[in-house]
Amino acid sequence: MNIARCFAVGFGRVWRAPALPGWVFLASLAVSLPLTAAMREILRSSFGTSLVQENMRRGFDVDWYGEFSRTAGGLASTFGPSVVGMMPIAANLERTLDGQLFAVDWTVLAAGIAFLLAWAFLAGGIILRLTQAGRARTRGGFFSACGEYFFRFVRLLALSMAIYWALFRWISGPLHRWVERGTRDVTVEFTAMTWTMGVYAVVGLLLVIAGLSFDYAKIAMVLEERRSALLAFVRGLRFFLSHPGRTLGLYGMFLIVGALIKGLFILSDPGVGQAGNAALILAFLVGQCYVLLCIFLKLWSLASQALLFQAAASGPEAAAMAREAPPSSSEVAA
Amino acid sequence: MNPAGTRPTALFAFLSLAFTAAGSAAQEPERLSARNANYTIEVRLDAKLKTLEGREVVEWRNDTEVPARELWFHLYWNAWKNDRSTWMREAALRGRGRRGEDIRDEDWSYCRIGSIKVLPAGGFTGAELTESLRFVSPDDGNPDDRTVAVVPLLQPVGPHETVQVEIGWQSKIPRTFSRTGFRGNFFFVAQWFPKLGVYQPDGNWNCHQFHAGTEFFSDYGVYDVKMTVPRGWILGATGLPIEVADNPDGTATHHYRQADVHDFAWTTSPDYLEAVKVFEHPGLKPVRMRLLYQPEHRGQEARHFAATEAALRCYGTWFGEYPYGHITIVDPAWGSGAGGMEYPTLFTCGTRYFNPAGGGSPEGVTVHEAGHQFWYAMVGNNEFEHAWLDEGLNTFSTERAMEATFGESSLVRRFFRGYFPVMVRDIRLHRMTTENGLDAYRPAARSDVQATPSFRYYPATGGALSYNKTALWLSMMEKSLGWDTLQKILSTFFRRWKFRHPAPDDFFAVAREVSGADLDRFFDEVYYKAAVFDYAVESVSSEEVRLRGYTDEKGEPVLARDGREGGKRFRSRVVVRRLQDGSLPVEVLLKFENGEELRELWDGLGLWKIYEVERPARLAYAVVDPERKILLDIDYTNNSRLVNPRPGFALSKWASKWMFWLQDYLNALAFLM
Repeated sequence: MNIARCFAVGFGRVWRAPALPGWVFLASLAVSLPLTAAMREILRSSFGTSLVQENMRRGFDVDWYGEFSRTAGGLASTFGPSVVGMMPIAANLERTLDGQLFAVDWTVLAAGIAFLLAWAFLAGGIILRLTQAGRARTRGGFFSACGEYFFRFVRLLALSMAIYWALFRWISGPLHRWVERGTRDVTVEFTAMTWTMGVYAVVGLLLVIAGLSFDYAKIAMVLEERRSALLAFVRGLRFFLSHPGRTLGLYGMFLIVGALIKGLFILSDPGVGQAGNAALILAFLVGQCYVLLCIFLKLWSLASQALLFQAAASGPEAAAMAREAPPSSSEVAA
Repeated sequence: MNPAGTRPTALFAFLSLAFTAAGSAAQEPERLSARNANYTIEVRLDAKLKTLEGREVVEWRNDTEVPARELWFHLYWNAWKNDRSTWMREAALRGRGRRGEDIRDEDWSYCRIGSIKVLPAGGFTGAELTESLRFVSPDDGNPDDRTVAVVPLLQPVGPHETVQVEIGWQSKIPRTFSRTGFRGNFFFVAQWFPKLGVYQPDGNWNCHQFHAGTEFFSDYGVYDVKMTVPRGWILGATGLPIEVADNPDGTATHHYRQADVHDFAWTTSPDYLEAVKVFEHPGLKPVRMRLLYQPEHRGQEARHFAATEAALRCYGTWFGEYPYGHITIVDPAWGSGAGGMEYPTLFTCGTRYFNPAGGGSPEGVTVHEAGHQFWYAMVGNNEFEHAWLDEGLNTFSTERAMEATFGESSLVRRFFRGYFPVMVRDIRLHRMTTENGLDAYRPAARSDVQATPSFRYYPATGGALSYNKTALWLSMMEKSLGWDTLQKILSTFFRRWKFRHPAPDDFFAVAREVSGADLDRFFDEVYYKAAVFDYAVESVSSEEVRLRGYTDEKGEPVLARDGREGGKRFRSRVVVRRLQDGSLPVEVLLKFENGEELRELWDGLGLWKIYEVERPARLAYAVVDPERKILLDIDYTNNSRLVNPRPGFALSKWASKWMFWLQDYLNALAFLM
């Protein structure tokens, strides 16, 4: 099975199992809503009785924000202009590439860990559902699979954290410092920028390789019933190393789709000016569509990678199995 | 303007020199300043060793009535001789700038006087003084500081006498500290020569050590400077070129001259591109603008010129004419740390490879540094002691010129180590608050009294006090007195004090005189105290008036039935408070639901005041300082209060946007899973 077919079939599998992205989206909402309510209260206590609320209704009051940010701590410190437009995407991408995803307020970090655990819980059922549909077709079967693989994925999650930490500690940081030293006498910003972007590219590639290895490790855990997170990671890494072109090629296709989704969001970005309910709801829905599409993309990539794994790991028979049509959406209870 | 942006051709060089000759000939007869400190300097740059070898003749006239028995010199580059200098110690205290571990051996600098002698001229006998040179530390007594040198004179310089002193010196150029130095083959050379302090009428030299948080002070004069640099390198300097002569050793000597300035800076690099444009505006003298810019900033020439023109036009029409007829705009090399600094007839700005239009950069820094030609270069206050007089006036003027020319800037955040900007067009920065630096002032509000000599400010708060606080209280004056009055104050101050050395009281005197207002309390609060302003509406209420008990009906006491007398009436109560010690008269606005407004002036002396009124409509909200005249108020959110707040929409809007950020963050995290 070539990667284009994996790409296409993977899409079909997720498309026909809409409950899967739905569960992840629900997890995202479940984690986000309590904190959003808390943030709403923080904002209420700041400008709830003031005329500033009128400015904030029409747009963003930078003068108010100057006062707010001066005293904001904890969760409040995460609010600012960086929640507007494409800034969240740029800020979070920067955090990812700089290894700063955990350098946030502890409440947000706790929410993040909760979300990761939710992912770890759902991943088993999702992969099983996308690969061996028979075992997780019903809601009970789906959650049974989720529970069955949960602790394995938690161990894998812990291993991934350690590996990402090491990557930033021993590769990203030293590389950036090396560039800083190397460009000490450089007087052309473009040169320094090129070197820095080169480091980001290297770090990004390593992140992708690590991410791919963990994706295939998850798939191997389910399909090969592996219990050891370390051995599963080694299996995932070996799979990547033995099929670098196909795995990276497939990943590249998702990268393009991801870039298109981000581009679409940026183009449809409603900005800060919504002053009516309809505009506000539309802006909210645009954001939620983006979130849902990102989740869909993640599952789509898992489905396609699983197909590739099955096809490459088991030869023509497995490929033939993989070509079997998945159940129709009416059969999907999960 | 040279649209191709190439290096100067022979024709351009010829035109430049022709312009120069005409310019210098024209400016010399008109004496704009006292010209009592004149420098003739020859200096040679060794671009490989990063050294300067120089010789200067200082011609100094004692303009006081007290004989001078010593000469005091600044040797600024000794501030980076080692880590024991006052500058380095203060920089460490400030927690800013380059830290010890970032500094390599090649980065340090020095300025060593090899010889100093009085020349036999003007009634003075020639005398060798090198051996008697000593270092002093008048500000902090730091025995390791070498930024001020004193040489006793064998023959005092009497009132209105002129002495000529010849100095030979060698310098090691620093890797840029405080906007002067080198990076690669880029050199920005400022505060680079032994320079006299300012002799005061009380018989003392005003010659401060170099401090990390403040700048400079010196007398006006004529600078005639020959700089020898590698042949083919582009050079820009204070003043105008007289000639460029090629030397047999592969170098070229650039001869520049400028009268009526108090400093001289220059820059050279083989990489500069050059563009020229003439500024013209009715009623103002044309100015030849020369832009030295980095090749990677090709395409941004027009933005630099537009910003410089904005400064020349706005400042020129508001305060007074720029008299020199030429100005050099320097776009420094990336990472050089030389950007955003002013020198007479030359300034550095600074831009980036990606710089979205509308984000205020490089326009803001360009207008600011060009504006320093007025506040600093022409009105030559003592920056060591009263930095606010130039930085504050200039920050205020910059933001006003920016708004008048380019409108409000949009918010820009830079990502990926600053290389990629993201601009949110619909988040605008307001001149009088954000752009004047209210956010920077707020945490420093209590840090020090503005009247304190600037070099003694609490570490790292000089910027907030000198730049931002002044700009904010000048904006308060603009709101209270009106722009016309403030403009007259500033133009009168400019006219009276250009090419002289004003002190704070000179500004206050002009402000009082021109405005005709009693500004004592104002200046007392904003300048002579570290007063913090925070007015607030503590509570609001509005209830229908209902009478309980008896009322008179046809002369008889009758129990009130529905509690109403006549039509509906509402009693509204507003409590306003002064939460901090800063106190100025302030207006209180009560706005009723029927659109009626009630404005009251509160003297702001007490800690609180209660307003209780009866009106036919309910109170909608109350605001203390509705026009936001007290821009130093550190919390304006609490200045207003609604009787029936309905913030639901705004809260939902911003909470949902924050939620999107959080969900995107969660998705980014999931990448790791």
